[in-house]
Amino acid sequence: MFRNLACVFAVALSSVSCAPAPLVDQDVSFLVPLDQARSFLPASGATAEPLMSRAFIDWLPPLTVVDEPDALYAALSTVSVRLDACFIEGPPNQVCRPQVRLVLQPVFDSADGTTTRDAAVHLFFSVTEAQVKRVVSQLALLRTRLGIAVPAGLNDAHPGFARDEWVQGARALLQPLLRSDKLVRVTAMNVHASGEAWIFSGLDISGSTRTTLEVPTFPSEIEAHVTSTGGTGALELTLVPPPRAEKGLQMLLQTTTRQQAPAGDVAAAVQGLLRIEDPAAHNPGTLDCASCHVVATVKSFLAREAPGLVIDSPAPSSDAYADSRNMRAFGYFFQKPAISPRAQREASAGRADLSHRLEQ
Amino acid sequence: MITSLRTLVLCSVAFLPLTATAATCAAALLGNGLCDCGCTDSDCPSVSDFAMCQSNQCPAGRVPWEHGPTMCMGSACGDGWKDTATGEVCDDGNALASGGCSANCRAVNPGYVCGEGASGCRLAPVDAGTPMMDAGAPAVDAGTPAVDAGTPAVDAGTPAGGSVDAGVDADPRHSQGCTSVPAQLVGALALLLVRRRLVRPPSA
Repeated sequence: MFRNLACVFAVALSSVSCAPAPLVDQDVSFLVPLDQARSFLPASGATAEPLMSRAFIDWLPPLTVVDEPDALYAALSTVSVRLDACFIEGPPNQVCRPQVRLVLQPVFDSADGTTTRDAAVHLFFSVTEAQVKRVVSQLALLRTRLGIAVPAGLNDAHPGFARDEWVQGARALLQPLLRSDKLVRVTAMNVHASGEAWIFSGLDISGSTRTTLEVPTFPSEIEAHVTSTGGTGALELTLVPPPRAEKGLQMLLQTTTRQQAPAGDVAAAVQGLLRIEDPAAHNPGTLDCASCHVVATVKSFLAREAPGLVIDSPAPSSDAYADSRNMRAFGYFFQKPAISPRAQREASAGRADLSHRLEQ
Repeated sequence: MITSLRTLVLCSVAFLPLTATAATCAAALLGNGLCDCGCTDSDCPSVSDFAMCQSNQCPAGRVPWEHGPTMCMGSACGDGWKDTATGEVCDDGNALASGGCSANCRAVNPGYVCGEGASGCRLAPVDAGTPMMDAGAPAVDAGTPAVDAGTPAVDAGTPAGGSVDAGVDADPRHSQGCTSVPAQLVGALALLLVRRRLVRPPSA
């Protein structure tokens, strides 16, 4: 039905039949404009089924200390979407799972316009490969038929949000996949009152059973803590528990520590940082959330403070990472889009994988 | 004990003018190039991280983070630490109007009493001389959800035996401090019972 719906949009506008369209990264992974986040896919569902029930606000650690739970739930809105035909968690060469991942942040009005709290929830929906292939191909078709020009890579919100037809079509395609009985994992990043500390945690869901997630690489830990007290002036990060998958990251977390370390050790640590960015090298089963979320900021500060270091990969394009308190990987640092290099590479890898599957 | 004393000395030195002390701090106490508040468990082995920081203090404008004893965070209303230097008269661990402290941490809400440091707020006794666990007193702050001991919303630092504190702000984001209210209450009640027993032995 929804395939037809997308085609209706497309055909109505261009009178061209629904032929497969080459995929771009933003067909599989896209950012929602901040001013449209509350209406696109809010957690509470608005006119549709809720993406997550209100009860999760109480089950998860408080996302913020400044919002009443009901207000927080009403404000939680999808800021980015990622579709995966083959999501691998853990060592390579194991069975992969198709899924849809939504990133939600509390979105509020402020005197300066629409803004976010520095906290987030990830929702993971279990779907079938056929569903992912259908939705992605229809999103590509919708974009093509509407004549929406989409730049390569992920740099900002999807241009399709400027067109009502695309927004309605995208929502209609996605909503059937976002059923509460398909919600299998909820993870959270909650922020301390100071805005200088965060806690990562999560729940796995199976039917009515909720299981607290353990931190990958630290099986006995259920929370990962990050602090960042350097502001825009310097890098002063801590990770508790310390990074284990790429231990060298530890020496890059603080400007002073890195400056005191032998050059060879720093170079090796930078290679570890690049592996964290590489979805082929690490995934959420081999890497803790904290390491993954700090790496863009660390890289941004390395590029600024140590330009002599040879880093064969670009620094984050967003200036949001000039603030060392920015832990966002695919969302908004208050009002600034924050898309980490890892999120960009994940999108490219997902697009390549889906293109291959659609050709088969 | 020697280790504990040495650590205490280091921590106390740490909060002298920072330019003079940074080089004297052990590496473990250095965070952001400054000496942070954290010391080892031996300083305060039986209480929460917050209390460890409380005993060693943070520099002005910084307050301890309940989840990381080695870190001092920027002071902010809602961090669970009453910071009088910034004008807070209370801090119940959130910046909401509900609970024991106002949204801006500038006023104690009616019916509550709030303590120093990380001791938070609790419902005031119904009247002086009536224990807070008296049957007539509300068991839990009606404005906050009951703490579900089976969910991760419960602060990992909750003192042992302190499930839902009678009369204590049960907001799960409330940080736990060194002075455990339930422990005090239990102690007071136990003392009361012992004294009654001593003065008036149960009749046969």
